[in-house]
Amino acid sequence: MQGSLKRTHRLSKSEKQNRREKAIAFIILLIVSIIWIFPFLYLIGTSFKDEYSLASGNPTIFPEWGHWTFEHYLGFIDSSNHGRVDNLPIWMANSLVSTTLTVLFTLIVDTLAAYAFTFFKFKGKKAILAILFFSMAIPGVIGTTPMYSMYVAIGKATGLNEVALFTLHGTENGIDVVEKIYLYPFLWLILPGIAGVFNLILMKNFFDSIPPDIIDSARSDGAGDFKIFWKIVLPLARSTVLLIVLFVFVGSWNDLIWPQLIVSSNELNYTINVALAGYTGGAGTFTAKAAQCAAAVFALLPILILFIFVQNKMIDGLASTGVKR
Amino acid sequence: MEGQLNLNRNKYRRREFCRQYGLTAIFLLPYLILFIFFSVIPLAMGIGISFMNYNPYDSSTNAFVGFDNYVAIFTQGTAMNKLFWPAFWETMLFDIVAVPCLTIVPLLLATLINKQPPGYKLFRAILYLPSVVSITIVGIIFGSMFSSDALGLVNSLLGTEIDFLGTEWSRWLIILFVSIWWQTGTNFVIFSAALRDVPKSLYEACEMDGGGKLTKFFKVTLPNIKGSLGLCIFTTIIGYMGLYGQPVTLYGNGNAPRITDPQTPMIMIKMFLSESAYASRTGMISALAVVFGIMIMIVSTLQRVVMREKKGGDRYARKFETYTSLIEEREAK
Repeated sequence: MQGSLKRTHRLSKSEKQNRREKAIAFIILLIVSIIWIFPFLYLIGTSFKDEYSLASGNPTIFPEWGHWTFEHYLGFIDSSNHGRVDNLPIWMANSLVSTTLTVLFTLIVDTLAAYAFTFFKFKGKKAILAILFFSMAIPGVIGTTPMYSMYVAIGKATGLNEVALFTLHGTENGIDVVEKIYLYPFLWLILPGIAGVFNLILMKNFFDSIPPDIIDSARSDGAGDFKIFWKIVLPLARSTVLLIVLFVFVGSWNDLIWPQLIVSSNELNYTINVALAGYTGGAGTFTAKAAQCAAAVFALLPILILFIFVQNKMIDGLASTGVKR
Repeated sequence: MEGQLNLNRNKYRRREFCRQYGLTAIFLLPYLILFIFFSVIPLAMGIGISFMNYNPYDSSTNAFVGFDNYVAIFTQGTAMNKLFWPAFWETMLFDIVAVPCLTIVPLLLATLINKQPPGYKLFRAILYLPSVVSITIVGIIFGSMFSSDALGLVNSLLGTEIDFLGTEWSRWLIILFVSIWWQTGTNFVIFSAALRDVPKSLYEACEMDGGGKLTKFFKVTLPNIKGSLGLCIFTTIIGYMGLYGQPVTLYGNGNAPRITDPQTPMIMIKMFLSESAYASRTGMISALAVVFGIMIMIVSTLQRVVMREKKGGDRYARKFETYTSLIEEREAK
C-alpha cells in the first residue's frame, strides 16, 4: 500500500518536472521562431511599401494602411517601370530549366552508377570506389580555376559559345536591339554538378540494404538488369530518391559563385540568384530597393512552395544521412 | 564431341562476359565520364596550371615557371601576398568565433526540440526554413534591414545612424548573425536526430548515481552525440573557410560601395577569375587555390584526428551494459 503510494507520488513529480521543461522549451522556441520568421515578414512587407512609407525614415514591417502598393511587382512585366527588373521572368526560367535538368540528370546518372557499384561484379570496383571516396576530401576550390579556363577554352575552340538558344528582338529608344540567350552556359551550369560523390554514396548505401536475394531471384526469373532497376530497385529507393532530388534542387537553385563566373558576360543568361546578387542597379533609390525585395519574394516562391510540401520528409531524411555519414 | 562442347561453352562464356561488361559500362560510364571530365581533369589541370604562367584567352604567353607562383604567394610585398593573407586571417578569425556559435546554438535548439513541446514540428520547420533560402535573398533582406539610410530598420529602432555594413567590427558581427540565422538548420536537424537516439536508460542510470543536469550533459549526452558533433564542426569549419555568399551579398548590393579589397579567400579567387584584367594571372590564382585547398585539407585532417582520439567518457554506456547483462544472467537463472 505504502509502496504503491510512493510510486504514484514520484511519477507525478517527474511528470510535473517534464511538463515544466516542456513549457519552458515551448516559450523559448516560440521566441526564437518569431525572430526567425521576422526577416521574411520584413521582406514581404517592404515589397508592398509605396514611396511614402519607404522614404518616411520610420520603417515598419508592413506599410501603414493605405500605403500598400503592387507597383514593384508590376515592374517584372513593364520594362518602363524599373529598368532591369523586366528580365526577371527570363532569369527565373533560366534557373528553373538548369535546376530541373541538373536534378533529372543527377538522378539518372547517379542511381545507375550506384546500381552498378552495388549489384555488378567487375574488376577495379574497389579501386574506383576508393578514388571516389578520396576525392571527397579534396576541396573543390582547386578545380574551380581550371574549370573556368576549360569553360573559356572549349567554348572558343568548338564555337559552342556562339550558339544561341533563343534570340530576342526588341526596341530600346527606337533602336532595334537583338539579345541572345546562349546554350553554352547552360551546359556548364548543369553538367559539372551531376557526378557528385555524396549522392552516389547516399544511393549506394541504400542499395546495400536491399537483400541480394531479391535481385538474384528476379534474375533467375529472367528479368534483365534494366527491368530490375526500374521495377524493383527504384520503387524501393523512393525516399532516398526524393532526398537526393531535394538536396540537388536546393543546392543547384541556390548556387552562387559558379553561375556568377560563367554567366556574368550575358545578362539574359543570368540565373535568378546571379541577377539578385548583382543588383546594384539604382542602389540608393528606395523604389529600386523595394523592387529588389519584390524580386526576392518572387524568387523565394518556388523554394518556399517545395519546402512547405516536403519539409517533414526532408528534415527526417537529412537527419538520417547526417548520422550515417 | 568433347571439344565441340568446350568450344560452345567458351563461346557462351565470352558472350556472357561481353553482355555483363557491356551492361556495366552502360550503367557506369556516364557517371565516370562526367566525374573524370569535371572532377579529375580540373584537379590535375589546376595543379598543372599552378606551375605555369597561364592565360586562358591568350596562349602565346603560357610557359612553365616552376615554383615561381608559389614563391610569390609567400613572398612579402607581392600583390598576391598583400591581398591573400589579410583576407585569409580575417576569415580564420571570423571562423574561430563563428564555428562555436554555429555548433552551440543549433545544439541548444535541438535540446529544446527534443523535449517535444506542443507544435515542435512547426518550430522545427521554421528553424530549418532559412537553410533552403538562397544567400542572395538573405543578403537583400539583411542588407536593407541594417542599411544606414531611411530603410534601415535596425538603425531606426535604435535611434542611431550607424553605417553597420561599412564599419569593420559591425560588418563581421552582422555576417555572424546572418550566418547563424541562415545556417543553423542543418546542424540543428543532425543534432536533434543524434539527441533522440541517446538511450533514455543512460540518463536514468546517471540520475541514480546522483548526477545533476550538467553531469548528465557532459557524461551522457556529449559522449553519445560525439560522432554528429564532430561531423558538424568539421563541415562547418570547412564551409566557413570558403566563406563567400554572406559578405558578397551583404555589402555587394551597393550597401557598402567603399569596400573594394576582397574580404575572404573565395571572394579573391572569384575576383581574379571573373575580371579579364587578371586573366594573365590565372596560373598565380591556381597556385593560390592549391595553397588554400591544402590548408582546408590540413584543417579537416586535424579535425578528424582530434575527433578520433577523444575516447572514453561513455562510462554510463558501459555501466548500463554490465547492468543489463547482470539482469539477463539473473533471469537466466
